[in-house]
Amino acid sequence: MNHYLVKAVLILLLSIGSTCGASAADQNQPATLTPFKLPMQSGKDATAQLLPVTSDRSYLVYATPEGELGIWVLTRSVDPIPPEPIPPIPPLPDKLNIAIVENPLTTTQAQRNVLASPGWREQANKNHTFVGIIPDNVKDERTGKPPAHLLPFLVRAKTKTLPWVMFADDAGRIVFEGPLPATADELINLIPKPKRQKNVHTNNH
Amino acid sequence: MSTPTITSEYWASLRREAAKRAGLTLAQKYKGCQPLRMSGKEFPHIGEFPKSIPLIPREQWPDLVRDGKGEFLSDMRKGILRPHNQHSTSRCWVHGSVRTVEIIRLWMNQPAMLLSPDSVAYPIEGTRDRGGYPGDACEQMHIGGACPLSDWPEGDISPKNASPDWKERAQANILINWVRVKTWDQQITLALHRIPVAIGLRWWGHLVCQLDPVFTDDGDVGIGIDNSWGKNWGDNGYGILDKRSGTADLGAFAPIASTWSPEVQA
Repeated sequence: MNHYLVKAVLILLLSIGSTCGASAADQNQPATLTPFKLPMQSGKDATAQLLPVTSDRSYLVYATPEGELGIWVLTRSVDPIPPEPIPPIPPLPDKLNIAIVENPLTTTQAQRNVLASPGWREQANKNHTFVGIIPDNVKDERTGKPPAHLLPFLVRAKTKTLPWVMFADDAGRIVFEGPLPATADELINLIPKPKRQKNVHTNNH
Repeated sequence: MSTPTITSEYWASLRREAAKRAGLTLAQKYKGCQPLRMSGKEFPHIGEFPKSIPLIPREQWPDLVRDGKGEFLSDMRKGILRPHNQHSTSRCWVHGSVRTVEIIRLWMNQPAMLLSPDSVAYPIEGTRDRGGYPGDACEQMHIGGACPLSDWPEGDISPKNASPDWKERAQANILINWVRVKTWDQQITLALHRIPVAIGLRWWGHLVCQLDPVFTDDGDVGIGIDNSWGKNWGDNGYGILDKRSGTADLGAFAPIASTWSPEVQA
C-alpha cells in the first residue's frame, strides 16, 4: 500500500474519530480499509480508499505514485428538501389598543405638549381603543397592584425610555412600540388610519 | 369672545358693587368666599415639588405659551366636564381640588366623570359648612378618594348620602401623587407641563383649579382657571388670573397621577 495513502488514511481516521465520533449512528460505520486502483486524468492509476463517515457521506482518499494526495467528499444524492412553509403573517387588525406609559414626574414639558395634543387623541379614540396615558406607578386601590389589564404595557415599558408608545392587538401582541415622537404630527402619523371601505355602487335608478 | 382677565382689583370692586346693590354684607353675599383656613397639620401623602421637573425660566414662558398652540387642559374638558357649583356652601376648597382630579383623569384618557366634592369634605368636616384648607382635601383624596357626583350631589352636605358603600365607590378614584406648590414659578412650570393645580388665594378667600398658561390682556403670562360657581361665572366657569391675582398664597397642590377606575375595565 502506498505509504502516502497509509499516512493520509491514518490522519483521516483520527480526524473522523474526533469530529464525527459523537454521533452514535456514525460510530456504527466502520471504515473500509480495502484500497483500490483509481484511474487518474494523467493516465496513471492512483491508490484510493473509501472511508464511510456517515450513512450518506464518505471520504474518497487517493494517492498517486508521485506523492500527490487528495480527498473527495462523496455524498449520497437526496431529493431536494422542500422549504418549510412560512406561517402567514396575520393581518394588522383594524382596531388596535393604544397605550402610552409615562412617568409624570420626568416627562418633559415638550413631551407633555405632545401628549396633551387633541389631534392624535381624537384619532386614537375614534379609530382604535385608546387605553390611555398610563402613569408608571398606577395602581388599583382595591388591590394595591397595577390593574391587570394595564400590566402587560407596564411590564413592557419597564426597561424603556418613557414615555413609551405601544400598539397591541386584542391578543396582547405588540405590533408597534417606540419612544414618544417629538411632535404631535409625527404621533398622528404613527397611528394607523382606518382602511377605506370600497364604495359600493348600485344602479337602482 | 376673549375671556377677561380677572385681577384682584377688578374682583374687589365687583364685590363692593354687588354687595352695595344687594344691600347685603359681603359675608352674606359671598358665602363661598369665606377665607380658607390655614392648617398647621402635616400631610404625609403630599410630596414636595419634584426635583425632576426643572423650573422653566421666566424668559422662556412667552415663547412656550405661544409654541404650545393651545389651551389643552381647558379644551380637553370643554363639553365634557361642566363647571362645578358649590351653591351656597363654603366648600371651594374641595370643589377646586376635585376638579384637578377630574382633569388628571381626562389626561389619562379615563372616562370623563364628575366627582363629588362633598364626599371628600364629609370625612373631614362632617356636615359643617365652613371654609377649609386645600391640603386637607388633597390628603383626603389620597386616603379615601371621591365618589361619583351622581352618588353624592354637589351642595348637599347632609349625611343622607353617606350610604354604606359610598367609601368603597370613592376608593375607586384616589390620587396617587400630590405635590406641594409654593411659588408662581412652580405654578407656571406645572401649567406648561399641563398639570392642573388647586390654588388657594388669600385676596379672594377662595380656591380654584388652575389649568393652562395663557396670555393676559397686558401680554404677560397668566393662568386659566376653572371656578366652582356654576356656568354663569366667567366664560362658562372659566376665567384668567394674572400673576398678582393668581399667585397661590393659601396653599397649592398638584395631582400627578390617579388610580385607574375599575369602570375602565368594563
